[in-house]
Amino acid sequence: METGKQTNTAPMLSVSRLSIAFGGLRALDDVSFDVAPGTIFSIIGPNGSGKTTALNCIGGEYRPDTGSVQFMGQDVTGSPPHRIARMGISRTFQNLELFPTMTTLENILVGRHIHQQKRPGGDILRSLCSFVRPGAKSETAQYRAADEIIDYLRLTHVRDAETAGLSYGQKKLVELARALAMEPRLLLLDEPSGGMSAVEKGRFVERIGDLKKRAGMTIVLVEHDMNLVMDVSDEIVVLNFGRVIARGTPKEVQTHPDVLSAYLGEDYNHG
Amino acid sequence: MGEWTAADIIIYLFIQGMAIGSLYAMIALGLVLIYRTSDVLNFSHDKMGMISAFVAYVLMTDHMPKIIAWCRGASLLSFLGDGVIMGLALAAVLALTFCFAFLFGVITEFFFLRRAKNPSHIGYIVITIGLWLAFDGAASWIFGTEYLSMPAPLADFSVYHLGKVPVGQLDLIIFAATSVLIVSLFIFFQYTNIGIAMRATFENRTAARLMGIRTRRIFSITWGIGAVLGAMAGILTAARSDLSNTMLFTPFVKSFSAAVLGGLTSIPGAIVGGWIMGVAENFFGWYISMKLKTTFAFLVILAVLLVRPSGLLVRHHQKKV
Amino acid sequence: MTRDKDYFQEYRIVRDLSSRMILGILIFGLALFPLVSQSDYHVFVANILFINIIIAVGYNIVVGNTGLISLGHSGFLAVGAYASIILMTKIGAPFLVSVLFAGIVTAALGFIVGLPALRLEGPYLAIATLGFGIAVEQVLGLAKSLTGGRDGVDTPPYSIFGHVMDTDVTLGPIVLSSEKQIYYVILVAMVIMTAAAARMMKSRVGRGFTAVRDSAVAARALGVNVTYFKSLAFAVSAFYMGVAGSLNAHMVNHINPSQYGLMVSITMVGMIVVGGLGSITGSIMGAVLFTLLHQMLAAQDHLNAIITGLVMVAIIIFEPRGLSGMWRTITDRLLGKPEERKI
Repeated sequence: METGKQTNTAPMLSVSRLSIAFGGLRALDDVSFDVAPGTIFSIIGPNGSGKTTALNCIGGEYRPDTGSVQFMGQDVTGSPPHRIARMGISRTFQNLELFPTMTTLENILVGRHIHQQKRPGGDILRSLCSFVRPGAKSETAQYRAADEIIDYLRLTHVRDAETAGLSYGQKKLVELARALAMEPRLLLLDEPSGGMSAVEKGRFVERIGDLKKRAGMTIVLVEHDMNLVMDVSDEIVVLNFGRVIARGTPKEVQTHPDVLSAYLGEDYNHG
Repeated sequence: MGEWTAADIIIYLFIQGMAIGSLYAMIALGLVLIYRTSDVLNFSHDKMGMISAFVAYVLMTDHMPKIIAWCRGASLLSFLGDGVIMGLALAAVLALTFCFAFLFGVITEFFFLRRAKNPSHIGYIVITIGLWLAFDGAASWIFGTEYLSMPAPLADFSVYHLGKVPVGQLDLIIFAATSVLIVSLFIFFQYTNIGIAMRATFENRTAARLMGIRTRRIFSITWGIGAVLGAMAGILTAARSDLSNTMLFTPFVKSFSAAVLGGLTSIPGAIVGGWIMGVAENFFGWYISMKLKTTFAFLVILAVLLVRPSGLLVRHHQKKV
Repeated sequence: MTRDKDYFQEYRIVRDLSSRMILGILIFGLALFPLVSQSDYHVFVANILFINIIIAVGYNIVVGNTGLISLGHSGFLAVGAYASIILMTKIGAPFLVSVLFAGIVTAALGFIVGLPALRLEGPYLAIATLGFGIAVEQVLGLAKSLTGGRDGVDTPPYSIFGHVMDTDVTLGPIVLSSEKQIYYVILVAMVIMTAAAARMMKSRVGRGFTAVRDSAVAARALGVNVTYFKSLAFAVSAFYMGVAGSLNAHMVNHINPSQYGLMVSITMVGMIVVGGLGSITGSIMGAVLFTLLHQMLAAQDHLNAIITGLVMVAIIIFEPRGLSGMWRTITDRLLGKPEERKI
């Protein structure tokens, strides 16, 4: 895996005054935060606070009503998801969006899609040329890259199994593998530990740390598991009812009064 | 049409358009009802309607004397004139046909659609397409492939006049039938238990089941009612033109346009869509081209769906991730 | 953690030697068939079968692999047929060029039609494409000067490099009727196009199609331009329709628009659903079944319709993965699941 270098301190991702409403419901209200390169940044908050919505605005699935998203200095607000993917942002989904009829390997190969750059109309022509070994180089290179990730995430034993038949934990891993196959600069993870056992969560924390150290990846995490978040994050932003109510290091956020009352109720503060 | 003014033509086209539009609305209603509740686009709807119309035909040609005798005997007022007896006989034929249609719908749903183990959208479509084929084959086998005319009393309708504009008696009957239909459906869905249950099943199938609604039974009943609507449309169409294997096909395609126009899950949409389709098509046919009417229907579908992908009267939902 | 693996071997569409030998024998047998067959009618049926295979394979790409319900693909068959005829009769283009060009023209039309239509979901797309197929049939019936209108046109016969295939040809002891000469052209076309489809499906393009079907949301997030790929699927399948349509048109003496109506679209749907959605072997099996059924029941239209219809219904109810799904269940049980196999 290649290692990235952070030679500047400009934020990798800069979300500024993001607002979006669905019908009458204000899902995000003036949300702003910066994500420094090579760090692990978590978005937390009670259910319905807008965490996934924020992720969807960054990833391009939603177009915010106002505000902007800047990635590596470029304005990506409202860009369609496939273009954002090409810029180096990849993501996983809260409710798993695997390709169930495809095998683990094939799922991950789709993650290699942008690395097989095509010329207009060239895709079909190139696949027709790949009947012979020299013509298949771009394809076989992707198989090799996919296998590296499969080995890294210890999915080798389910490599050729249809993902529809995998366990929930394995499916989550495959989705992570697929996102990693894109070799992103920024990785968005939506509730990655959902449904994981304690052991799996421990391994997951190790992996995330590993990705940050070895590959210099910047990771944005939307999470529910407080222990995991406090363990792994460099910086945290807390949302409630679509608004930012706190921002800072795990320690700062843990003792922030607004955060406590948001999670535990108004009375806790004064109790 | 020499002495007609432009206004006369417009009125004529409008009335004709509303008449045929009402037939489209009727077919579209059946389609929408079935789609709304059971999430299936019934491609065999036109064949089912056609078969029901044939059943009515057979009843009227082969069995009329028996029915008339029964009516005369059954009604203690056997001194009533022939006209009224004829009317009763016709009512009996219609009732029998509608019973047949209802059963047809229920059996189709029960035997074919319910058996499928969780098919995809295309799975359901293929089932109804397969049924279309099977019904088509069965109908041409049993009933033959000639063009027939509906016998009395569904023939020889009088023509009234609105000024210079002719208005057929059948068209008036179609209007009346459609109006009665609209009112009945409204009452049905608002005030009857079954109607409300059907609405609930559409809005949220799981919740409906949890509330004790027998959704399976609702599906069967929905198909039954849909088939009856198709039968009604089939009989009226046959009375208006000919009875044949393919008679309902072109109206069926246009009813699809109508249903899509109004929104595939909207019942008022089906009716409004039908009327718009009928009138617009009529004006198109007169002023532009008679032969491209079906193409026109297709273009209408495209145009509407481009702007409002779920139809005019339905809100388009984006999938949440 | 490097693996010394031969990825090219894994990437091949026919991986093991035994399968390749079977395939070779099969093709060899097909090549020998006209030389041993006494009946021109059998060769004719084979020709129809090969064209149906091209249709099924192409149609399965858009419906089975990409998950787009199109009920109007008969329109593309018609466009291909008429385009090829016009190219040959009015512009004097040679046969092979006309067929190829007809495919390209139809593909372009498929792409253009795809762009707006593919914003629609499931049933709406089905209805819109249904309308398209019917509209094409109607419009072709009206454009008298270009297409001969409702009466249709006579079609020029096959001709390769100046040799026109409308009479017998004697090669030593063997006499090849025109039907048998045509057979070889269609056989080659069918093999090439089926192989191409298999190759495409097991490469970036094919994975893109399947990704669009399985989860458009995820596909987008992975950099797949879903709108473009949907249109591409339409275009590729339209190319297959165009070629099949033109090969078919020049094989019969005369075509008219009513030959490309709803029944054709319905047959297409039946072939791939019964055979197996998204599977090339499925397309072939479906084409074989439907061609044979149609030939056996040709005399009795009604029975044909009833049986075909009931078969379609039965497959969805009992074995939704089609004949190829049944085949796969059998081979899985005999040889073990793919990931457990040593092959």
